[in-house]
Amino acid sequence: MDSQQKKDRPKKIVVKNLSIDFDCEQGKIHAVKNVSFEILKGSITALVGESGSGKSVTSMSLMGLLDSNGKVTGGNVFWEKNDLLKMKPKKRMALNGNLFGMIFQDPMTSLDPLFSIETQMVEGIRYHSRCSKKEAYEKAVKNLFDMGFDEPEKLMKKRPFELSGGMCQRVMIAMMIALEPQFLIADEPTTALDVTVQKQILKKIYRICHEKNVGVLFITHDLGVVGEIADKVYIMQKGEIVDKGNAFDIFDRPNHSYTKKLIASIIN
Amino acid sequence: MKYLLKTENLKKYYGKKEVVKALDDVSLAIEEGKSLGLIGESGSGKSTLGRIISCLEKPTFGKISFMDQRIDNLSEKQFRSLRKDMQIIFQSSKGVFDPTYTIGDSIKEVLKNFEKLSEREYEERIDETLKSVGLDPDLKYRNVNQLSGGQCQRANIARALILRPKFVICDEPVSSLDYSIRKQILNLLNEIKEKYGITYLLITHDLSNVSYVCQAVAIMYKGKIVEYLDDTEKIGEKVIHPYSKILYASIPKANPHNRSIVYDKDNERVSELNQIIKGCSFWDRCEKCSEICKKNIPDLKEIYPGHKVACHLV
Repeated sequence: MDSQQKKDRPKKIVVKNLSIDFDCEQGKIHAVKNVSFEILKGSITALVGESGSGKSVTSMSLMGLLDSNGKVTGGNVFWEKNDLLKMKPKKRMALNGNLFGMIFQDPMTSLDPLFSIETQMVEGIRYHSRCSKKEAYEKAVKNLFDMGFDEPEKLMKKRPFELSGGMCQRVMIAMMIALEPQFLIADEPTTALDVTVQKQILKKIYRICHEKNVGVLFITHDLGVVGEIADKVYIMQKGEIVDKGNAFDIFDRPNHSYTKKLIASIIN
Repeated sequence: MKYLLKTENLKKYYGKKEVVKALDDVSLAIEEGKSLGLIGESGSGKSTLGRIISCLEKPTFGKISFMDQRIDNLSEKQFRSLRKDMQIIFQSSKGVFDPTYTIGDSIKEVLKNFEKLSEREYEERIDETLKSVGLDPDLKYRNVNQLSGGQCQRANIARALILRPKFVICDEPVSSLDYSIRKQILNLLNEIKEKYGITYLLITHDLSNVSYVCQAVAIMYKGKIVEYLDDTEKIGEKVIHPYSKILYASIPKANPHNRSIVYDKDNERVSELNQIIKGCSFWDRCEKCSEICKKNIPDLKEIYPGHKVACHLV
C-alpha cells in the first residue's frame, strides 16, 4: 500500500535555496537569493515578477544555460534524488530536451533564418533521440499538425521569416514537444504576441500540460495570464520569492504587500 | 461638429506593384477632447495609420485634415508650423533619445526648434515639464542608459509635451514596460490630458488600455476599420463585429475563478499562408461566414448613433 502511494505521488523537480551571483565590473550582483520552489508534473507553476527580478536567470540555471559570468553559489535542484547542479556538464546537457524543454520569449530569434523549418526540426529531434531522418520527419509532421497547422508538409519547406510570430512560436512548441520532455520551461512565451494569438498559445500549453502530463514552469510578468492558466504561483521581487500559493489564494487573499501592488496594477 | 483631425478614404500600398495594402479606405474623425483608441493585431496597419497621420509618410491616396487644414499634400517645411501641435510618443523609449546627449539636451533641442527663449527660460521650462511627468528635474543631467524603462518613458512623454501640443499620437506607449509600471504611465497620460487639454490617438494592441484613457475606439483588421464605437464603457459587451468579439474574449481575465481561455474548445487551425482573400477580409476566421461575405466587401455602416460596424450580417 505504501509503495503504491509512493508510485502515485506526482513526480517533481525540487529547487532548494538556489542562489546565483553574477560577476560584474562593479562587483558581485546577487541575482537570485535563496529561492525554493517545486515544479509538479501535470500542473502549471507560474513564476511572476517584474524585469530584473531574477525569474529568467532562475530558469536558465535549471537548464544549465547561465552566462559565463554567472555562478550558482548555493542550493540544489533535485530530480529523482539526483542533484542537477552537481552533475557533470556533459551529462547535464544530455538532460536538456529529454527532461527539460524550453520555449523562449522571442520565437523569431530562436529559429535560424538560414534553414527551413524541416531542417531545424529534424536536426533537433535527431540530436536528442536516436532515430532515422524519416522517423524524425514523421514525428515533426505529426507534432506540427497537433499544434494546429493544416498543412505541415508545406510549412516545413518555409523559413522562419516567412511565418508570423504566432506561427513561429507554435513551431517552437512543436519542436519541444516532439522530444517528449517531462518538463517544459516557458520563458514569457506570449509576451511578444497579440492577444488573440496569445490565447491560442496558452490553450496549447494548457493542453500539453494536462494531456501529456508535462510539468510546466511558466515565467511571466503578466498577472492576467497567470490568472488564466496557473495552478501554483510564486512571486519574485529583487531575486527573492516574496509570496507563494495556489492561484486562487494569490488572487483572493494576497498576503504580501508586493502581491497586492501587482494586483492593484491590473487595468480593467 | 468640429473635428481636430479627419481622414478620408486613406490608402497606403507598399511594394513595387502596390500589392501590400497596409491601409485600405480608412476614414476617421477625431473630435477635440475625445481621445481615440486604435486597436488591432500586428500587421493590421495601425502603426502605419499613425505614421501617415503624423506626416512621417505620405498616403497613396486620400485626404487628411488637421485643425481644418489639409496636411497630406504639405511639404515638410510647410508642415513645420503644425508639427508643434502634433507630437508623437513612440514605443521604444530608449530609441528616442540620442545616447550621447543628456536627457535635458535632447528635450531642449526640441524646444529650440520652435521657440526662441533665453537659456534660463529653457531650463525653467524643462524643469517644469519634467516635474509635470513626475520626474526629478536633476535627471536631465543623465544619459538615457542611466534611466530605468519607466523613467525613460516619462522623459519621452516630457519631450512630446514640452511644446504644449494639442494632439499627441501614442504608438504603443506602454507595451515595452512592465506590468506594474504600465498603470502609472497610463495614469500620467490621463492627468496630462486634463491638465493641458490634449487629445490622444492611442495606438495599442492591449485592449484594457483603451477604456482607461480614451473616449472612442476604432478596431482595425487587415488595413480596414471594422468597428467604431463612440463610447468606451463596457466595450466588451457592446461590440458586434465577430473580430472584435474574438479580441475581447482573448483578454486574460486575471481571475482564476472565471477562466475561459484555456477551457474553450481548441479547434483553431492555421491553414494556407498569406492567402489573398476576396470579399470581407475576415471571412476565413469568421464563424458565421456566409456566401455574401466571400464576394462583397462590407461597408462601415452606422447601426446605432455613434456605433459603426463593417459586417454583412448585422
